[in-house]
Amino acid sequence: MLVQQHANKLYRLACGIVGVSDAQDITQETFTAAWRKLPTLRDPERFPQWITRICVNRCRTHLHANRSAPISLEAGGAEEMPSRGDFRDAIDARAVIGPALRGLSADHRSVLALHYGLGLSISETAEAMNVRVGTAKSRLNAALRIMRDALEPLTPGTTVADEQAVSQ
Amino acid sequence: MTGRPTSSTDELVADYVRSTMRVALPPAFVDDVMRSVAATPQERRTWFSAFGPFAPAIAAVAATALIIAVGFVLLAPRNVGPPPEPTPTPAPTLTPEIGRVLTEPGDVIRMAALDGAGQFGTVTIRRGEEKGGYEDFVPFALEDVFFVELYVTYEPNRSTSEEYGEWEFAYAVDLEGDGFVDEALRRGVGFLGLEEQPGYDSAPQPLLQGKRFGDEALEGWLVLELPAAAADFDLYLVYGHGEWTDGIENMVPDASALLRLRADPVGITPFDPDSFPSPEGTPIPMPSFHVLPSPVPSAAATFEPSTDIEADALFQETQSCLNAGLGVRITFPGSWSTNEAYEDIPACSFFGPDQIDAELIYNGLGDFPPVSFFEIPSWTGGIEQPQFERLPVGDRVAWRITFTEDQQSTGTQYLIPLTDDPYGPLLRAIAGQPDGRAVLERMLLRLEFAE
Repeated sequence: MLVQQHANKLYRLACGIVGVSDAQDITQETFTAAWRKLPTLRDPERFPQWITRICVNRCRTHLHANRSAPISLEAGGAEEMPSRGDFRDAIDARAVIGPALRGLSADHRSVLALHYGLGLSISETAEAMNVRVGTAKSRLNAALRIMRDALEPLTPGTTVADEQAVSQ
Repeated sequence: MTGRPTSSTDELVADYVRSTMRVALPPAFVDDVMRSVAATPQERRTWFSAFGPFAPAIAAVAATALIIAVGFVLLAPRNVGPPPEPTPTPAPTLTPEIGRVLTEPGDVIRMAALDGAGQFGTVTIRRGEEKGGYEDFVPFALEDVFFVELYVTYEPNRSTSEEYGEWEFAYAVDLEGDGFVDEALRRGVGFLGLEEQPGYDSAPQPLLQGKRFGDEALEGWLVLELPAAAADFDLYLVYGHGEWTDGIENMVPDASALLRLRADPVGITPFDPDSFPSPEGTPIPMPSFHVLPSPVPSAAATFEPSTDIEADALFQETQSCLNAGLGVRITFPGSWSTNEAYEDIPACSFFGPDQIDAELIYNGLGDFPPVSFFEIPSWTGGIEQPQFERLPVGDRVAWRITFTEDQQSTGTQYLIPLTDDPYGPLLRAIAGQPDGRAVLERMLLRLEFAE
């Protein structure tokens, strides 16, 4: 019952943080870990927040354990992106966001996935990450700032969306 | 309810994140998970698993009760009934130091900026105005809020690697309604994108969040985004940093300052980009902080565990384990437990009379047990008015730090250098509860460092 109720949300969350290829394993691990530890949950009403936090932590652990050569947003990530002219011609500007997003830290990916992907409020996001509200806000701001920095060198003076509008 | 992205780039990023999560569960995935869960042993039954067979009935009764309750609420006449009784004015337990008050525009306080080596400079905070909002600014959480402006200046007098600083505000709450404060509720500070506001061009936001500034002077606006309901409580500005989930790395000077009183009307002034808080004001010198003493002991004290018959009894039978991360063998009561290794938590780090699950602690889901041993790379914290003692533990000179009840941290801690460098890596041994101290000290007496 609990699995049916929460599987979709947790699978989507894992997709947002670790990617679709590992999301299935992460989700399964989350449920088995939660099941094992269920007796330690003091307040059963907080099960949704509790299992969300476990899923986030599993994702973070997975990213740390599988950390390969990180994508540098300032160097490698940006170099992989098309030049300004190419960018204007890009059919889907999102092609440049993916590499930049994968260069974010686990915490920054998590805050974006929780807040924008699952639509949690900042206080709910903070609870899922087990940090203070101020910390969640600052992580969200930092993640967006890094993404802006990664994307804007390609489009000096304009934003990606502006570029899209121009290209259309 | 989500925060509003502030630029079209942010919007694009948010859309992309949503699109990566717009996925359907693989076929049969739920069945696979349920089989996997069913094959996983559970450590013991919970109170609600015992009622599992009755869950549908319980849920039906609960849902019916909820519908009835919601109906009552929706149908009840509004604004009817006697006016609320005033509750007693609470006596704040977050009592700021004398003079640490920022309730009026123009009030100024100064306090020490601390790192592990002591004071590295001064923090000056000047109270500004309260605002109901800003032009074209949508509150982050779209709730009913008001804003308190503070102008903060860091003036280092030497270089520091300290990461500062995370500011919060706190409510003092009289939960029982008996006139005594029971709890201080903390909320994060809203950092606003005020750099996009006219007149705030020179005010980088967020200003003080998680930066390392060396010896660089820093000043700018810190704007607190407060829910309207917060005006019903005494509010305190609280300085703190370090995250519990990332390890206990810093001791936090509990530098609270009274920010506003519950009885004060919300002093909202209209947005005026040219009207900054007055730079005038009489600085009030702050009490000095106690900081870590010199690493060179002036006089060697004697380390004698406090007298405790129960603790002595616990050590009549002992067991020991090796903490490979610290390179120490730790002897502890035979009736106590320790943890197994989990992720980067070494085995033999936590001790207590109950079974200890490092996974729960690692995931921020379990309480810290009575006694903890772990390594910190160096001392990065500052402390407000602790009781310091220097004393030998084995062949090393340790700091013993005892916290008093009015401080944010509690219990007793020992910091023992792991190398010849007193500013280098440290073994940090914590008795989180006062009654854990006697056991911790007996464990320290028996501590064996690997050669």
